[in-house]
Amino acid sequence: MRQFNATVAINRAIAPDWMHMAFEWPSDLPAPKPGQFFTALPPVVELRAGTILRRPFAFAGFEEAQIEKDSSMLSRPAYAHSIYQVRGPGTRALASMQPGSSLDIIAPLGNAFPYPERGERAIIAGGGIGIGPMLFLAEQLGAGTYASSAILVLGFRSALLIPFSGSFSAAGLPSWKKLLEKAFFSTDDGSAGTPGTVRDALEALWLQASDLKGSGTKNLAQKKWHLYGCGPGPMLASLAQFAAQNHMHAHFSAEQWMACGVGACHGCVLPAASGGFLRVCADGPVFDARTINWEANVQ
Amino acid sequence: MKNPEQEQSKKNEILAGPPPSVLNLGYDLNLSVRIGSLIMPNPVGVASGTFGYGEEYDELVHIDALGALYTKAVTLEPREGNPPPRLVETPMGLINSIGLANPGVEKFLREKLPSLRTRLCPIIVNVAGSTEDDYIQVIERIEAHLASTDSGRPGIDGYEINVSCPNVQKGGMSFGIDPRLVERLTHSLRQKTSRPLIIKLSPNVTDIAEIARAAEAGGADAISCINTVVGMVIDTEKKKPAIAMGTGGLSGPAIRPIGVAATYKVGKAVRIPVIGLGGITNASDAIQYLLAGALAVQVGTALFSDPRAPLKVLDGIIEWMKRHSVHSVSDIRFMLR
Ligand SMILES: Cc1cc2nc3c(=O)[nH]c(=O)nc-3n(C[C@H](O)[C@H](O)[C@H](O)COP(=O)(O)OP(=O)(O)OC[C@H]3O[C@@H](n4cnc5c(N)ncnc54)[C@H](O)[C@@H]3O)c2cc1C
Ligand SMILES: Cc1cc2nc3c(=O)[nH]c(=O)nc-3n(C[C@H](O)[C@H](O)[C@H](O)COP(=O)(O)O)c2cc1C
Ligand code: FES
Repeated sequence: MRQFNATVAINRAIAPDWMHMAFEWPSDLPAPKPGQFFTALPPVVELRAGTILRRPFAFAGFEEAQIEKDSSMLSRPAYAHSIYQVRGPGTRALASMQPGSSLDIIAPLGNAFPYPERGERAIIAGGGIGIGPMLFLAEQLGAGTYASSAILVLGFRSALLIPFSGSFSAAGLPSWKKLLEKAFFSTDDGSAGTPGTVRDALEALWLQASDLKGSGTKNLAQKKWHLYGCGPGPMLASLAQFAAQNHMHAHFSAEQWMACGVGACHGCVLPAASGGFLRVCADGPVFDARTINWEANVQ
Repeated sequence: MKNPEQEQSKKNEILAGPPPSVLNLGYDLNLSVRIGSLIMPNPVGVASGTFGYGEEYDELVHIDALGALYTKAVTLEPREGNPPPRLVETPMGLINSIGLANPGVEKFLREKLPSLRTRLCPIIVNVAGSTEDDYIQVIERIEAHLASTDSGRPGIDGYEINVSCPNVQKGGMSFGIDPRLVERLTHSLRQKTSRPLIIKLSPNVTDIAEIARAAEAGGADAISCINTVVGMVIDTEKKKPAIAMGTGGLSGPAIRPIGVAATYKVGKAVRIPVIGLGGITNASDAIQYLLAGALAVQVGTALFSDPRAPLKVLDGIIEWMKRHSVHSVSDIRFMLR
């Protein structure tokens, strides 16, 4: 982990109130892994809001530096990518930053998603702005169609809010758009994919998988599912239930208010299933779904 | 002309380790401050509860260059802490209700002390309890441990006593609001250790000077002021408090004027040194505390926005001392016009 001033390379809208930010990554710092996050100190543009804390965001992608063949000079720096929703003063300040400006970053922080075990199929579920780290994971695991190993399932309130669509189609990383082309969707209003929640979309896929069991084709059922999730508290509570009922491995990335972001203040805890508390920033943000009392956290 | 080598070794001595930017003092400054028998190499420490036991900040902060590290509270038994949410941000402030989550004194000695021993900066252990006996037992246990382990750095250079905790024997009222209790507690702890004993006061009292005098009468070596100010935020949509415990402790720039005033009052009331804290973000904030009567300062919540804040504050104090031709940091407390 390191604190550094990063140059913002990209900061543009990808959906209503959603932004894609990319910043330069120090060449000698280990690359972030899916699940890990960074904290940024929003520039002081709204004095009246009086915010003082850094803001945590998950990595949504990473591009390695490109090195000149003969001179071993950097021809292009490495870039870290994130997707964020404009919600309050901190994210409003971030959204106002121009490419070329400098942002105070601490990264990489927290743990990462574990790889699926042999014979497991990764089912990667993202809800709302929680899709950022899931796109990163899906890219690393090579998510695609049925025949490939990993499957991406994304939930939105409405089709209009799916990023990179309509007037936003020019924005975002090409790899994200490829992933979205192959993803399954759910929408609360039924305007795209399965009507309902991410859980509903997963239930539908699961049913389909069970129907096809034993048919011999390369289908969903041939492998055990390993569920990965990131999204709002109620979604994770529901997915934890789904995973438990169907006896599958599950790892979720959690959120909580943070102060230090490095494990020192014990401010960012969630209730542990075995009693006591776990720090999201230092014990997580990725947890085996069985270790957190998700229900208690929703109340 | 000064001998550069001598100069260099003196600076290293002052800073107890090779610090970052402060090396080029180029000026004869005395940054050290004395708290009881302890000499801190400079006046800027990190506040209890905001810096853990140091390990978490290893990769971000040059810890050896700090004036002192005040640990997270240590209690007799392990404490899980309060249910979440434990934090909420307020205008220029932060409300927390961590609930003194800590591993307890035994695990502290076993698991945290070894790394504290490797630090070159003074280590002050923050102690909390719900009864007078809790505090006494924590200090007895630590002293016994230090006596039984041989030579080398003890890893503990003093105690800071958090008297803002609710006192279970007095119906949950804080120790820190009753001068007689503070004097008695300080007196009892004084019998148990010769290491510097710092009493950390709560601002949530009618007359903080009276409590400070009680701590001095009990034999304290210094006063830290202030701890957090009781505060509350209500979520108007959910119609419930923003943090699970309802009320919590407000820290950060929002409380700085309260802390400076408390330091000013306490400084006038006692002869022992005052360590000022509450909302210090930059050097000018820290110098306000020093001018108000503090001998040293601590930086807490500002670490959360910038882990480099304490050493930036130190750099800024040095720069200010040069500009105002002040040679010793301990003189600043007498300079208020
Ligand atoms: C590990 C982690 C990873 C995250 N990754 C992303 C990401 O990739 N993209 C993204 O858009 N957001 C992410 N967030 C959430 C993001 O940090 C907050 O949305 C942001 O801090 C809001 O700041 P603000 O000043 O704009 O709004 P504020 O006014 O501070 O908050 C707006 C609203 O958001 C809620 N909120 C704020 N912070 C949190 C939090 N930490 N947890 C839950 N609710 C919160 C509050 O209820 C508040 O009403 C992540 C949070 C964590 C802890
Ligand atoms: C998250 C957090 C945890 C704290 N824990 C302790 C503690 O364990 N013991 C203590 O004496 N003070 C504790 N404090 C109070 C601080 O040490 C300090 O007195 C207060 O925050 C004011 O300083 P600041 O505004 O610089 O943070 C804590 C403060 C915060 C923000
Ligand atoms: S935010 Fe401080 S411990 Fe997680």
